[in-house]
Amino acid sequence: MAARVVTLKVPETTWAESIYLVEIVKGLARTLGHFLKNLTNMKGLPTIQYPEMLRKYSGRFRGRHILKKREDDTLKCVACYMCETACPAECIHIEAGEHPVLAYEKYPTVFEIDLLRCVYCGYCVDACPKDAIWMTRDYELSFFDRKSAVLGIPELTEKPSDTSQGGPGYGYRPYEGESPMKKAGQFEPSGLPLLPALLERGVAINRMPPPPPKPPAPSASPAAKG
Amino acid sequence: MKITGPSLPIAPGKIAPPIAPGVPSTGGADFLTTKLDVAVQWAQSNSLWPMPFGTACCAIEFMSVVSSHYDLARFGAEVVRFSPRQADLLIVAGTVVDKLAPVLKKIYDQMSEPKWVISMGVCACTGGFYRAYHVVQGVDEIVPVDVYVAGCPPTPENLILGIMMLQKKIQSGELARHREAKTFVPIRVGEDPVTAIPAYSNAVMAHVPGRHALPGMPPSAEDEATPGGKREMDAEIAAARGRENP
Amino acid sequence: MAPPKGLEFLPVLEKNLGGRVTAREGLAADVPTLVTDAASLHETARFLRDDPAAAYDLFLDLASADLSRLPGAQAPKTGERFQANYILYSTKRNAHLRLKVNLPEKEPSVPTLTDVWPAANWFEREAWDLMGIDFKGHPNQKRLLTHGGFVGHALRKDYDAKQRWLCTEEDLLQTELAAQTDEPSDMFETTTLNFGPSQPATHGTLRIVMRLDGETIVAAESECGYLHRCFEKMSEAHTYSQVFPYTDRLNYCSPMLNNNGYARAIESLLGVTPPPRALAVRTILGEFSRVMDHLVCLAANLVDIGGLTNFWYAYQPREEIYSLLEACSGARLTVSYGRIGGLAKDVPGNFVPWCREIIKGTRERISDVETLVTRNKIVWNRFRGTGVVTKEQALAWGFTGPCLRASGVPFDLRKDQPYEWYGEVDFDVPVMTEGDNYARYLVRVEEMKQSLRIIEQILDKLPGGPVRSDDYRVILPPKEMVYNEMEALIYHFKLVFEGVKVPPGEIYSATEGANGELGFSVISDGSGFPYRLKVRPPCFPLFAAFEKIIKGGMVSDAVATLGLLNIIAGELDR
Repeated sequence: MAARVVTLKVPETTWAESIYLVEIVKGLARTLGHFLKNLTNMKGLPTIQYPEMLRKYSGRFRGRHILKKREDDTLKCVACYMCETACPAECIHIEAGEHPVLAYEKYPTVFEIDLLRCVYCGYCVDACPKDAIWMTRDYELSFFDRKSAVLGIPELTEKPSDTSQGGPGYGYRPYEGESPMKKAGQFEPSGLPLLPALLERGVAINRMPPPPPKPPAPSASPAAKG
Repeated sequence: MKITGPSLPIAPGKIAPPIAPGVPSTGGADFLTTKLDVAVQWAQSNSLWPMPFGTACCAIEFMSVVSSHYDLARFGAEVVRFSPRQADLLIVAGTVVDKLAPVLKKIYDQMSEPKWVISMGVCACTGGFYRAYHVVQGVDEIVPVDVYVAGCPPTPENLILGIMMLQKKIQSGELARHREAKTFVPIRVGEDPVTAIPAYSNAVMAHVPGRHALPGMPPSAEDEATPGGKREMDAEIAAARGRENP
Repeated sequence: MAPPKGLEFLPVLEKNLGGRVTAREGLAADVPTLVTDAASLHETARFLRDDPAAAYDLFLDLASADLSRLPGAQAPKTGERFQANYILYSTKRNAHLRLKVNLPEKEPSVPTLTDVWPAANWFEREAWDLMGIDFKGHPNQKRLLTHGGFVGHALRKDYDAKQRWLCTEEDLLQTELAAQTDEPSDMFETTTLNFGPSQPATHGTLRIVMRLDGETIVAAESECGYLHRCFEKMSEAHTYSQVFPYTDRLNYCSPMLNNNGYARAIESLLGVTPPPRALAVRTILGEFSRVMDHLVCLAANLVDIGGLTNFWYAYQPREEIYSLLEACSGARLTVSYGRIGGLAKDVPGNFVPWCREIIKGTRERISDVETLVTRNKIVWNRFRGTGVVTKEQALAWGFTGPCLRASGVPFDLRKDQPYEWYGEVDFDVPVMTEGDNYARYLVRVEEMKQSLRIIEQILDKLPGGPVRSDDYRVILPPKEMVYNEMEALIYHFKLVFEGVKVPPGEIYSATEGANGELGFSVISDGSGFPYRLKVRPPCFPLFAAFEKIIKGGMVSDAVATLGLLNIIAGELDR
């Protein structure tokens, strides 16, 4: 297994090449060949007719970020500042607040990402210990001014339109399929159903306002699609 | 900088003078002018001639946009002109550093009206993750930007979306009024630690119309005195509008 | 006692210079180091270049450092603050060397080495600009990367990284141009042409100011720094793994090669080896990146000389490789796929058949370009005999990579000091003797074909297994472990908040980038942040020599030469 040094020689000029006409014909034959091939095979054209056609990016595409929610509609994010620290562009700004449910401890009162600073490296997704920040395949991020590029919690929170048909779908994420937290049997407080038990044990203090009426369950749109 | 244009009162039925050279007027005009504006705007938006001021990685993505997979020619913007005299859309693609800033300014000035600027990539929009001693923290310190395209580098579709947004903006007639250079608004994501240098101030950038000092900075004596300073510009625009709508 | 390995000439050198040159012990993975002082530097350098037992004919890099903030045992002696590290290479003996000089805090200065190795010219200018080391006798000690209005030396530890300075003027470079021509500065006979920095044919923000007599160039002066993004200062403010996105943007046409080079440097410093599958995938994607870079070089250059069709043919395989990189890492261009200790994620399931498809498509497009270009008379007239660089000139000017190989020196790090999987595959290293543009063109085309050959061989024997090292002090542990084990959770937190704690040390590690030797000089101080990270950009000496290559030629030849030297501004200016 070795590398070999090969000295290349400049090819000799033939008479046909000197008069150049033959080369013109050869070159034109090549380009005309491509042209005719494309004419007869329009479906095989490589052009992606954006915006009517969208390129299919992979399930690891690093696009706009989303904040995931638990089953009781609270954000998974516990404002631990890991993503803000891991970000090389310092584009995430978090302010923490105390969550009324003791088991959740903290939540972000402010979570802003400046999309015009972010370099879409995905380090925040790698760093999050709660799998709370994911990235979607949404790359349509153009703005008329800098202020509208700073996304806060309402814009960043995951919406059904992100994963529904025609939506961008999930991109770079910490796991595919089932959450390793669930598989590990880690206690992930998933909210209200557990709250009475927690209150009984004296572990949790309920300072939350009564929950809003639950909207009807969304029809068959598996979260792990894509 | 004086605004050119007649200073006589406008008789009804006549075409109003342009507010600034080369910019079609839309105030109080008659049917013909409105239709003409629409036609002109449609033509402008569908035949943008980009000047790619490509510096870094975004320039490579721009090259992908003009290649066969994405084909900017479908939007009429195929004629990529590297001479600012022949272009009307300046796409700043890539990081602009302090050494390059005067060059960018010169190129922008050499373009004739109407002209638009797309800032492509986060380095051009805000400096990206280069919070450093030689990087301009956003080209809107120097030139007025119409569309900011995010991404590092933006996918080619994103750039095409940016161009489409610009086309819509041109067709809506919003840009027909004389645009003021956008000032650099430091976005407070937490504490933005980049110190705005008291640098690209009015005295230096005096020939960019409407350019005024960075917010939070007291206007200098130079700013007050320089012709083309904001106060004078506002007064002239108000006077021109007053003439149109008596 | 026997001299250290690689320094067999040391006894002779010590005899000549008394005790003023000593060897320094370092890591096994590091290059051998000699320490000398400023007074003996010039003599030592001459010896190292001329003595046949040493024969260091290639000047690679000058890595300057400010040691004032090093803690504990590494701290410099009192009064000493700066350090100049010259990295040299001997093509005959296939050996690197680091020549180290410690300099005082007040007015650090060394004699210039431009008369020994002309390549040192721009490296010394950069060290003056960014570190403030004075080089006595330098022909033109002016700022190179920062602008004329810049105050201070940016890479010194007491310089605030965010302090910017206004630049309102451009330098017309008339004094340098006047110095180059023999006649008195007679502005009426010659035209001054400013070529760049906003010029399509420069492929990036390069600037050359020329004096023309008709179309012939009588004097030329090149200037860079129009994309100086402060990579080295930024890397001091970020953890080792946060530097990966910055390395992507160095040579943005071949991002994976930069990731590989940087990862290799830090892994050598740490003593960590990634698993074999990670190295194999790094090699495959690195070679694809090399193909991408050569394609863009040829495409852009052929556009400049008028062959526009090749641009579209050459961009087709690039888009396919982009899709592959995007499926592996998540981004098309700025992949950030490498990590210290392996890769970010494993490759997708259909990696091997997909790669083979891409290879097939790429071969077809290369053949398209060759049909249109290689035997084309117009191309022959433009490329043959223009931009000639002889073997001696190439070595003196510090060339590496395809440009050096096109001038007749068979130096390729993949062959001479194999790393990753290059030792396990067969490939040819193309070399030509003419040194003109046509030679560089042919060498690049052949290298692309050889890269595809390398990829095929590795695909045949791609090993299974993990792509991330199991040493969780350097790489984030998998999420399953983080939720199951306390230790893994602690590693995760420590790596994010404090970074990889690299033990104190120093290393110079080089890989073969698409343009030549991409070297990283790293000084670590035990914390999670690099203390000093210097990049040896392969196209820096190429552009420094450009003004000399084009002198006497015509403007159109200059355009052809510039394209085929393949100067990437992101790498040139960092």
